[in-house]
Amino acid sequence: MKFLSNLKIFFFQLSKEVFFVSSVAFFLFLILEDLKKGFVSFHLDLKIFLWILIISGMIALLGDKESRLTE
Amino acid sequence: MSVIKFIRFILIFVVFSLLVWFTWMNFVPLGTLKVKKDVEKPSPYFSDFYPSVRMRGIERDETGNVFRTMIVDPVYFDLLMPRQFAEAEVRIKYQKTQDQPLFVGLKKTNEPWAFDFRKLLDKGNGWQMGKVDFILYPFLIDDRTLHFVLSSPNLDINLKEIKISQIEVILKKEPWTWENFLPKAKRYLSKHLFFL
Repeated sequence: MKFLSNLKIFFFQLSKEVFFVSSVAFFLFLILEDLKKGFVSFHLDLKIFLWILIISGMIALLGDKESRLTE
Repeated sequence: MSVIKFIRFILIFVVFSLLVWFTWMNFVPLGTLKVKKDVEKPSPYFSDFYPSVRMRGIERDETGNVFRTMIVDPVYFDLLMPRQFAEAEVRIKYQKTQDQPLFVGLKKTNEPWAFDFRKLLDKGNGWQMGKVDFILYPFLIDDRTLHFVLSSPNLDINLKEIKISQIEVILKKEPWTWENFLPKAKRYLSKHLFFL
């Protein structure tokens, strides 16, 4: 049981990390793409980053809410 | 917690590597960039063929070649380059009858129909790869975009068709060397940072 709860905490923490890094990366790539069309979009679909950002953000929020409830 | 720190490091490393890769692909230090347009898979470098009504939709023959058929002349397509290049080698995989010529044109000025044409040399009636070269400096580079045309005079009057399967453009410029790197970097920075 403790293992499962630790795993859950780890997963939520991981989502938080992914959310922070991907949001910074997304805005950085967006600025670069705006400065020069094709800088990012020639090689990578920015929508992928947006989806990673949304999903990880939602999981991180869920984890945050759950940890507050268990406190 | 150390695992999380390690994962954070990996994530930052991935983003940083992507950034380095984008920069590398943007500056093309080796001097050659090959970009390909398959009719099936759209490429971010190329526009679609336009006007689209002059070509039939995507088809596949018995040998597995995927192609679009040009039924009215001419059709246009644009190529957005990541930066300025000196030369472009255009390779087209096509099928047509030998009596119907096919020309590749590159727009020279903003005037209508101001194209410089090169004829693709035929090697038979089957699928073939034609190649033409353009030195880019006299041509119109409209905000990094090259405007190409595929022309085959009287195609619809002669009731002929041309199948286009693939377009590949090899863009060439002077590669970076130890001797030219510093002057190039200086020129680039002075162009983009006005205070230098």
